[in-house]
Amino acid sequence: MFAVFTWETMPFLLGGVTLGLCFGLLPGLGGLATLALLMPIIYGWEPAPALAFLMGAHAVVFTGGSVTAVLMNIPGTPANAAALIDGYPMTQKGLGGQAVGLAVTSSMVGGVIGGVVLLALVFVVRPLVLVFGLPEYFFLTLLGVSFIAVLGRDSAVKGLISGAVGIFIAMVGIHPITGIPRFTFGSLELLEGFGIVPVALGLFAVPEVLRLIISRGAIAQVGSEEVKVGLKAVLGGVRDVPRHLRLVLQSSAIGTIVGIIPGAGADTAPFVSYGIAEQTSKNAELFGHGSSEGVIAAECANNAKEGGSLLPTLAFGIPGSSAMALVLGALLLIGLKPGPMFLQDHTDVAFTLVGILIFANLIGGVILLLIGGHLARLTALRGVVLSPIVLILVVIGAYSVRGSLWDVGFAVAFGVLGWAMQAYGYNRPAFFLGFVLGGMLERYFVLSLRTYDWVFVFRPISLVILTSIILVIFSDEVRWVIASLRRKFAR
Amino acid sequence: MLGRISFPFVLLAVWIYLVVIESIDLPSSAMKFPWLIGGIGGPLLVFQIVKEARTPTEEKEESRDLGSYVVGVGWFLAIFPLIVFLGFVYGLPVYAFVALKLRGEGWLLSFLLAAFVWVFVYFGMVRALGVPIYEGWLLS
Repeated sequence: MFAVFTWETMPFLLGGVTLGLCFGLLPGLGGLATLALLMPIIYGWEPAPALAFLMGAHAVVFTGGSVTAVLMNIPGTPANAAALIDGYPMTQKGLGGQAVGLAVTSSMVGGVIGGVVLLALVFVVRPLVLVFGLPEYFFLTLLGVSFIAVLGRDSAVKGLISGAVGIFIAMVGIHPITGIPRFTFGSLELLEGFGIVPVALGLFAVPEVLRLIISRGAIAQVGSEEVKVGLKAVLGGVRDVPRHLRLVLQSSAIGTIVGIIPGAGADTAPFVSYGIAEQTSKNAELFGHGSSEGVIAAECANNAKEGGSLLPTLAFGIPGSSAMALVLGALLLIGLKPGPMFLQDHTDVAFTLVGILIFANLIGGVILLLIGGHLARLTALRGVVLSPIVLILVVIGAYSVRGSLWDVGFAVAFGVLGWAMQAYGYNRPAFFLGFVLGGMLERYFVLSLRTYDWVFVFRPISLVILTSIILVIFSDEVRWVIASLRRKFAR
Repeated sequence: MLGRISFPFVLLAVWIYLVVIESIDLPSSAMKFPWLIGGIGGPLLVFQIVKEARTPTEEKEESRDLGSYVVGVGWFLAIFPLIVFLGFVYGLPVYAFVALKLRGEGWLLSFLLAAFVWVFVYFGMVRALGVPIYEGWLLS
């Protein structure tokens, strides 16, 4: 039996979990950066401690990122950006403790469910993944983009404009198919395009820093006596999660499924889950204004997707996300070769990885819940004290991913754009979703067109996904038609 | 009203420049997608500008203290010359100290937070993680 859960290996799991939480709490150092920084450390280690350390860190990095997202509007990782849509308004209302409890518990439960589903699907998922080709990936990405319409519900036109601008910004850099530079204006720094981290920090964190500096007030925009922090407030958020059991299961399932499909863009899983939750909720009007359902939907899917994306990585050697590409590298580094024979030859390793995923989520969640109340106290700090610290975190976060001062400048530029968007009511999450998915959408579109011509639209799975897209965009109209038909038949 | 129109108007101007002028010399496969997205975004921007222009101006505009904005933006931008000249290891703690002290905080808090920032950047980023940190124009 693959010895991970032994007294000798447990400290490595705990060490990995602690480091993963710290990396998650720091903006910019997301799942990819965590793995990249920790991978050289495990070189030469035995497989058991190496896996416990690395996967332990990776499993909880998104849980850590959810805390800064809901408390400070700084997504610890790009995938945490969906959680701030409702988490941050909760904090501004003085409910920072509850928001932390909600986000951490949802992440923990989502991670555990993702692991369990991975365990259940590990031998049956192969045919499902293999039927997906380029056109299906294109339509899946388009499905993700269609949630722009949901995110822009307050003003659909502004939401669509924001999303379109985001997609356009994603085109800056070298064209993925022809290798021709586009919209770079001869600048070498723009050849790689804009990084996700500077864009996320600029859009969401910089306007908040500016607000803190100018207003000199706290993040929580209520009187200090109304700010609810501490363990009691955190536990209030914890108790809120089981009350939405259906949503928890739905969001975890969505996260796992999006994670399983390689190339579907694992970072979009929280947005897809958020969009579906909004459409199916009885309290849709609360979304975007501090709805606990919004936080649950985003964070359950966020951690559940990790279980999903581990599946194609192990079963086919196809990484389900960019971070999983590094996991693949790490497995090779310690002498394990993922691929079609892996599950047969190393069943014990596969199950152990699932175990690590589940245990790391539980341990990480408990640690964060214990310290979450103290972290939430930061939201009551005066802007004068908090703003330099947050600004320093933003600068370090923007710089650390590629080690480029230009990225700091880009974060500021996107900060100005984010500030203007906020001031004039344009939708920043829609912009970000468009930006994250834009490159992928174009790549799959051009490749599908080249490979299948326009016939690619009529493939059966493509048609099913296309129908879902239409339902997403015109959900209000569909609901209205169904309600009219019901009334008609009732009469 | 001018404020509400100006933002989509600036976006539209940039949009037209990128879609029409910058894309025109690209090969067709690299041009298709910008034109597709441009074709959707452009009309939406025009629609939004027309809509904003036709919406009556709200009587009560949010009052804005220009002075506090300028001071705030100044504090925000001050971090960048410090990084460029002193690098991350020294520029960031100096910024933390100056930003706290000059905005009315006590010596002890300003010093402790600056020290914390230095420990975090030097031991956390440089030593522990080995992140290649920019050293600054004056110190490199």
